Amino acid sequence: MSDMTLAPADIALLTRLADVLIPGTADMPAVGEIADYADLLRRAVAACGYAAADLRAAIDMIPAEVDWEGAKAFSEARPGSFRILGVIVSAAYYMARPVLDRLKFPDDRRHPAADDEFANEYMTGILDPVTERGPVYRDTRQA
Amino acid sequence: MVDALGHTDVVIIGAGPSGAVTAHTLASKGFSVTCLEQGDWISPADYPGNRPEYELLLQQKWSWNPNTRGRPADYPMNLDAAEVTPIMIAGVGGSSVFYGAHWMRLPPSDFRVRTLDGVADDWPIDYYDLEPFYNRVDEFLGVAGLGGDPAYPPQDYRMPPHPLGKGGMLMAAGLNKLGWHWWPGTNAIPTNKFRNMEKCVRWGVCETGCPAGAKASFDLGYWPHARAAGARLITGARVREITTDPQGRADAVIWIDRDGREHVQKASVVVMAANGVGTPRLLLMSKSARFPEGLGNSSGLVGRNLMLHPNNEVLGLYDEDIESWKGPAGQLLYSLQFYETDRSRGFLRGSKVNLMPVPGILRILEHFDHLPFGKRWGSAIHDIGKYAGRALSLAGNIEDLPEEHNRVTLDPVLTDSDGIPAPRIEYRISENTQRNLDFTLDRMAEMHEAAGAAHILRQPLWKDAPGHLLGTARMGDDPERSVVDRFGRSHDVPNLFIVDGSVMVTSGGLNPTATIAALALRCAEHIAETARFQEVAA
Repeated sequence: MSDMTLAPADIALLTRLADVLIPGTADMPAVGEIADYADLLRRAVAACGYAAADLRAAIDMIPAEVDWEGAKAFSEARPGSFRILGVIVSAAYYMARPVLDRLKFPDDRRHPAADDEFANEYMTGILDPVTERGPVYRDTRQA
Repeated sequence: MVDALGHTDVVIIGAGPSGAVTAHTLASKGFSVTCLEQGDWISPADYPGNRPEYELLLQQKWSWNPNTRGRPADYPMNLDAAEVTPIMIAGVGGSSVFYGAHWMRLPPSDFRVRTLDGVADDWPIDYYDLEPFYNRVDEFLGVAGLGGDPAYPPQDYRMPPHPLGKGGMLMAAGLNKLGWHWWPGTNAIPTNKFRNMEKCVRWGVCETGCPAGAKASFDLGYWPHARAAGARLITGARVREITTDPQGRADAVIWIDRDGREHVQKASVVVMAANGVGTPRLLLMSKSARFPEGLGNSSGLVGRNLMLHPNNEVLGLYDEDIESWKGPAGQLLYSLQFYETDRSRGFLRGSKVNLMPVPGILRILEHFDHLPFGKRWGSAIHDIGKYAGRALSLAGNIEDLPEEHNRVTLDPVLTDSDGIPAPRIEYRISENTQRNLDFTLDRMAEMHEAAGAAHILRQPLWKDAPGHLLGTARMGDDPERSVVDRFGRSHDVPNLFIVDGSVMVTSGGLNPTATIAALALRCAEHIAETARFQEVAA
């Protein structure tokens, strides 16, 4: 886990980079529409396995007024550092509830199966072609 | 300072699956049992999978690779000569804490590879020797599956199988289209509440530890019962040596606690349960004038024949909403279509293919890191991200044959946090294994194609092997060609037993925990039955 603490200026830079890399569309929210994006950035940085020094160096490389061309140039000049930041801003984005809602990821992660769920699948006959072919193992008692 | 503890009938080194089964079996029969585990209990509340940032936590803190994780309980490995990385975690339950609980037996042919295919060696036991032990462990753990798989002799399970789900049904239809074998996944994941385990709620993060307590990792599936039966479990206990008496019998183990203090645990029987890297490491460290090449190593085979099951993967992205955030993961289904040898393929033996859901989004995105900037970022990221919840993984579990040059030795420089030599892993992928990998990769791509995947992404090799650490103290009838006998007893030291994956003669192409647990149960009962010959109080 990284022991780096993001300063407000770091948050601002990363948010600006995220705005460029992950723009909003008709179907997906923009970073600016995610109220807790700063918190999610902190959470991502705290959880990741990147060394604090590498993260610090990468953030310091973000152009102050980063735009599409600036981000592209960054990715080409410093692919390793860019990749770290790409993971961080993406992780924060895809942890956001509005984003997960659009992707139809349920809020509740518990999905116990109904008692008849497998039985209903089985009754479609999906396994019949397999069972009809009969045993396929090599019985070593006959070898 | 050495602290001498009281005598115990049996000391077990390692609290993973084989140690847990052995402890439970012997404690239940009235033996005094002490198990030494260098790791700790891991609380389900600490598992990463119940946190939204869990994919990032797997980068380092909860990495499957001990070198990356770097906890004091982990020992480092020198991997300079390893083409794949053995993964593991030290702790109660061992690596089963992070396993997918794919619960697969070896079919009969695996015990007769030399006879059938002319390579490697036959096991000294066959499927039918092990079958009753498979059955009993399955019953104890509440394994969930569907009997009648035509790729096996008749077998059945206590629990009904998990649903295939939308993704499983899609793939099953694809496999039917190809006319290939498949079967609903057999998992050590209860489909109903069982003993102290909860009913699976399909969280989908089985391989990062089940937050719901619904997976038969051995900290949950066996250890509570072993302790209730009287087994003593000491955590934070790193064994550095097994000592022997003047007659050449194992008489004690020396272990180090977290504060660096040494302890001596005397015992009538020593059981190694540290799996395919930890077990040879400790045997090689236990040198003496009588055993100059390491304990139990008159054959010179301790540490050799390391098998790691190189894995590969083909990821399929689907336009249908297949709810791939839903577990178990766990296997939804498996195929043994290419398990048995077919010489026309250009290699011997085969592989198992299993289907798993892919709940993580970052894992999908990283598959597209090679794309040029404009196709990876900007609005293009949403063209990739839309496949979150629509991804299925087919993984190939490749049988690798035993080769003596693939081995575990002691590193002359690298040490663990107690100054004990670290293992050095030498592992090369053979031409036979590489052909098996390539063949399986192509077949998995065909499976996704038949199932209608919109994108098919190949990963020819997982650098991190699946944690199947096998073969480094193989069993056999010939003391010159094996380390232990058919019951796991050392050919050289009559009261030293090995019960873990080290004893496997061949690796099979299947997840080995079911076999390891069955072998451990068989060995433990043999220890009990022959106790009077080992001077164990019966």
